[in-house]
Amino acid sequence: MAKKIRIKIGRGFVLLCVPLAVFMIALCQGRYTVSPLLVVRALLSPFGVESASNVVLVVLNVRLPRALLALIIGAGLSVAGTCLQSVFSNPLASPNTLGVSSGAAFGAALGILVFDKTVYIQGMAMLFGLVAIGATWLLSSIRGKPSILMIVLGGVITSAFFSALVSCVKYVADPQSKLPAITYWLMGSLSGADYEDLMLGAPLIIIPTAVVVLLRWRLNILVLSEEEIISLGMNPKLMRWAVVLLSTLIVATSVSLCGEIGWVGLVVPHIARALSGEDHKHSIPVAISLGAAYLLAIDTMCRSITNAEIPLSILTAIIGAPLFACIFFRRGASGFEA
Amino acid sequence: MVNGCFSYGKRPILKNVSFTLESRQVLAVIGPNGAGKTTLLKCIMNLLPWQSGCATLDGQNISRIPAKRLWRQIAYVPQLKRAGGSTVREMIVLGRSAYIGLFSQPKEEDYCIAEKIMKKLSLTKLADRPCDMLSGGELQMVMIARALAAEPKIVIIDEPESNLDCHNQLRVLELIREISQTVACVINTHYPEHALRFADKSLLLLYGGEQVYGATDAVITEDNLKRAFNIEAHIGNAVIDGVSHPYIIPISSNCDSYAQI
Repeated sequence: MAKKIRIKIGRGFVLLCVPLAVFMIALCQGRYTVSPLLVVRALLSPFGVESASNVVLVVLNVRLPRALLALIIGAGLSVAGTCLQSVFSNPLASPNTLGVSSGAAFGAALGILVFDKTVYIQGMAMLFGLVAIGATWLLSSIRGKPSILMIVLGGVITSAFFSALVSCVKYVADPQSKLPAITYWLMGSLSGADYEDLMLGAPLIIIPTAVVVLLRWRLNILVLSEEEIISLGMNPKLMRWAVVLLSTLIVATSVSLCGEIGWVGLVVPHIARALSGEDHKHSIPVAISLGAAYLLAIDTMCRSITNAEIPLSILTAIIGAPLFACIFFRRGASGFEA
Repeated sequence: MVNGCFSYGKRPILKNVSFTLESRQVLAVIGPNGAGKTTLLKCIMNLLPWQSGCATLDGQNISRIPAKRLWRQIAYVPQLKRAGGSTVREMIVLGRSAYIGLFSQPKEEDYCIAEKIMKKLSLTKLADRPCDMLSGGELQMVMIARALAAEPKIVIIDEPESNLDCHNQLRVLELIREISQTVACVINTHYPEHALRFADKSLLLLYGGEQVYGATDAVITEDNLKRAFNIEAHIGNAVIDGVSHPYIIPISSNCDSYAQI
């Protein structure tokens, strides 16, 4: 008994420390390197600890909101990916599968083209993310009750459609000013992150993530067949859609904040499962911890490897794809047959 | 269970099915392919709606019992399929679902119940094995264990012994006999012989929705097998060490009484 509790506490400690360590490194690293001690002093400066003003500016106003946002989005995307893989009993499902990412990306591109104001761009991304999931749902239920295959097919169609619309927006955008902005947005970047983003976006990611954390054991049941789900006393349709909507909210919000970020929602859930087993009771907390650390680490690389910012999606893919290949070869193809 | 009717489109599958089942009894549902065995089980549990009639549990209409309460009393084991990579222990704990709040995780108590059932079914050594690494027989035992974890009054099992070798068939059937000392069991089977050996009551479904119901000895007869399966069969009894074991030998599938049906 006591041993069990000790293991539990130990596990919780590790899960907390990994993102925290990356967080400290992220605050120190960058074109202007700050020592960990100065970072701590700067963090404590609002509470009266003396600290140099330029360090406070860099750490508190530039790096801190960006790091926090990276942690939150990384955790959120990983949770959304885990949820979708469970709901569709498909290890290849990810936020892109349902067309949510494409829809939100189109919204953002259109927002840049028409408004040019961050709040509107974010609103448009949210709106079209939800429109996309609605379209996927409509397509999948045209022929009676939506099966998993129909939902995935609906997602593919929606995704293709919105991708075409994104190309359309790019085509008509002014190549001098708007096109680079759109392209850059689509590749994903946290460079514009500030406290306003954090206040607006964070609750919309943290709240659905928290709900999923509470529901996490139920995700084990959602993997089963519909009849089994009913016979375990749950409503499969209600539960599936609740989880899909929570994931959509997370994904649409994150696209609205920092553009399309591929691979996190696909790779991190697999690594989490490889580490903690299939039980979502354990794999969801691991996915949160890893996802937060992974995205923050990559964002830190993005802004410190070269003088210019590297778009996030480039690095998440360059690192994520080989990682995914490793998992694929270690688990063998059998692990991916639904 | 009173006068249940069900049809797919205009084709009637089940007509006026009626039976009762007491606690600590095994009911076997037998019938040829496509006679509606699985459909009947699903109707009983309200997974499919009756066109008329209803199933009752302790005098209460099953379709009116709220889900959480219903699935603490009835547990269902569907036909064997491939299972995912979760471990045997996790899989069995899922059976506690109807007792666990929507936003809660299974408690120590739920794991204890799972451990107890694993011990009873000698599954303890498989507890940490992923379900997709189990043999068919082991997986079926795990699924029955998951059903028992709900501490139900009735366990409904769809073809418990299909796709298993004869050792595992016997093991599963003996297990069903054993668990029927505390719960009522409804099983579907393709083997009249299994009904004869392990079921107290039998419901023989015929094409067109007719059925024969009663004590197994009265239902599984050479005449009824001819009516249901269109076979010529011999039913006998082997007495071994003073214990009698009924058996059925199918003799021929050419039966001229086909026109009667």
